[in-house]
Amino acid sequence: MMTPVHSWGRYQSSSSHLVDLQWPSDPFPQSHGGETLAMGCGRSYGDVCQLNNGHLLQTRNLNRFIALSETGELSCEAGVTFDEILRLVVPRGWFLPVTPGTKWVTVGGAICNDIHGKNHHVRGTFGCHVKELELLRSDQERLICSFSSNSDLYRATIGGLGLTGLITKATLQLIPASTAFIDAQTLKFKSADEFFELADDSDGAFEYTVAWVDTLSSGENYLRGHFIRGNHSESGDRSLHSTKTIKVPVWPPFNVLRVPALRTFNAIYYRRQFVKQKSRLTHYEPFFYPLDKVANWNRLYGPSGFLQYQFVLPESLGRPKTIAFLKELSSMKIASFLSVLKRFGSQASPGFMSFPTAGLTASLDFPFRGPATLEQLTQLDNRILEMGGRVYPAKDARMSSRAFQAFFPHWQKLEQYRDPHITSDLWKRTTGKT
Amino acid sequence: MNVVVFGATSAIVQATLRHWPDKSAEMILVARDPSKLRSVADDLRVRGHNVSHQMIVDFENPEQIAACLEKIKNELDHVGTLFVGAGNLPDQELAQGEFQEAERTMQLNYNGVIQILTGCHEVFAAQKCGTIAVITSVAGDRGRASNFVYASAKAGVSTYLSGLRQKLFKSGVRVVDIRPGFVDTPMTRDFEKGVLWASPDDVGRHIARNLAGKRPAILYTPWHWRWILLVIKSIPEFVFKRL
Repeated sequence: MMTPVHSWGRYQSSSSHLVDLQWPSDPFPQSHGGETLAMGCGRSYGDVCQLNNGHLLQTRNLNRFIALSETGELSCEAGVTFDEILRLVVPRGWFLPVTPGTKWVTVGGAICNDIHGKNHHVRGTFGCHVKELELLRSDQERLICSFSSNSDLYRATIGGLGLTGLITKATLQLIPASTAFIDAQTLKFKSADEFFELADDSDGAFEYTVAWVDTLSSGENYLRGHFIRGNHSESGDRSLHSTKTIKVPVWPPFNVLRVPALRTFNAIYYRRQFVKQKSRLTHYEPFFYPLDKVANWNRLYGPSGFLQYQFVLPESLGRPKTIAFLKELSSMKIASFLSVLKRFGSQASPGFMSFPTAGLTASLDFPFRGPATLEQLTQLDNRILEMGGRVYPAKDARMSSRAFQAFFPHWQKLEQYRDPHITSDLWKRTTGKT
Repeated sequence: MNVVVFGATSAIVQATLRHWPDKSAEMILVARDPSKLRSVADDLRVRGHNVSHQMIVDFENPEQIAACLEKIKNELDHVGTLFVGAGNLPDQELAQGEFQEAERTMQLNYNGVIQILTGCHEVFAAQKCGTIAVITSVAGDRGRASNFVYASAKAGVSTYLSGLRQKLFKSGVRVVDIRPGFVDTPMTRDFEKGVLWASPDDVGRHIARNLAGKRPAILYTPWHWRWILLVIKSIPEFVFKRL
């Protein structure tokens, strides 16, 4: 029975045979010569977790905990979500070492995309905290992978886009957090120079740093925004996030986030903080997961969906050229609602396909408006390539094979470790390999 | 207060135990597959529950069930809650065509359950307190062409529980008949899922909350199935047979 499957950006839809996994000890499902791919929560924006006409292995019922030690070492099945981990560990004084902007990711998905968060400059990627994982291949071989055991496969699986096998279990190291609160500060800035000054001041003293930027501002204020920084607080209790969400009940038949509305929104949002700097004790939920409150916020982009674009410019490019590129971006008047800027640190991931590298990363969303949008993004790819940067596959839905292979020259090494019965729509699109 | 659980690896039972309100309750878990049972026990322990025993029993084997009951009666001086969630949904065509398959269905859904209830009857009658909770099904409320072999087994258990409830009422023992509707579990893997389908987690949470209280005797889960079945049961037979 084929089921329609949409990416989170709702840009692509596909149809797959869904296979429900229940136990980590179960054999790798037989697909009778067909292609397979594991899928967790499906929050990737593009087709990294899609496989048209293939067998999608649903990992959400591999959701059991295995052990939690006194030192914060957590072992669990790969379908456990960050939401479930937080509910378990926050009351016990622990926190996720790295978290993206949503709690709805599985441990397996986090490993395969080697996700990063607001603390990359301190902790690196999620893969840096994975001590061990169990990989099940389609020939039923079961391998424990770590730095010291099957280390090549370990390095291929972290950031390996789900292609090396099915991750059944993993062990990760949590970080201590006395309370569920963050000592957060928000500072307004009006230029790229100000942004970089804030980043220089903050990265050494704050666990979490990120900036929201108004991509529609122009003139002197071409890069205005809010710089957010924070540390785990000693104040407050260990209360958990709530389970209540608002659901967007119907698809608006158009994208509500268009330039005129967005320009007004951005102007109001920038000014909502009257003072230049504000400090507040903030619960981890609104600090890390503001969008999770609206259960299907992706629908606000309307039926055509949207494309997320995240790139990194290497530190070696130098600040003047980086700032010049940011000016170039702002002149493109991108109506991006969720524009984020952050400095990545230099901590290397164990995964050779990992996206982050020391430098500046920016994340933008583009409502899909047809070939013009794709053309705009292709031009961006070319510019990023010229500057030695790369684009994040976990968010990608359209980059060409030429661009992907140039951004990630190690793709051929990943291809060697890829399970012969596993592939994805992204891999087919970017490498032609099935 | 402890809880003895038969069928601990079933999706609904796992979910119910995760939501068990009394974290200090000693949990004695019984299931068929050792590695699956270990996964369930580890998960519950990490969540702060107190799993004291893990026992392996094949529900198709009456000798194994008897030995398990003996062990439980020897090791425990009382039983707080007896929770039976074992069961199996057969292929209806196969079960109606081959008696061996129907027999197997009865063993897994009726005989095994009755053997456990018989074995524990005296324990509850003597201790004059406690709860007996068994997962049956809304299917047992009325036989339909699509699943009547399974439905007859479940209906048999429900009738047994009704009599047991009456028998043990004066002893202060609560007997609960848990009747799930459509639940998205491995047992219903091949069914197309629609709006009436519930997750094991929702159903488990509902059951755990109700077993902590004193009512009801018959728990339809989710609750709307009580009304759906009321309608279905009131359809006259001369109409029902034509549907």
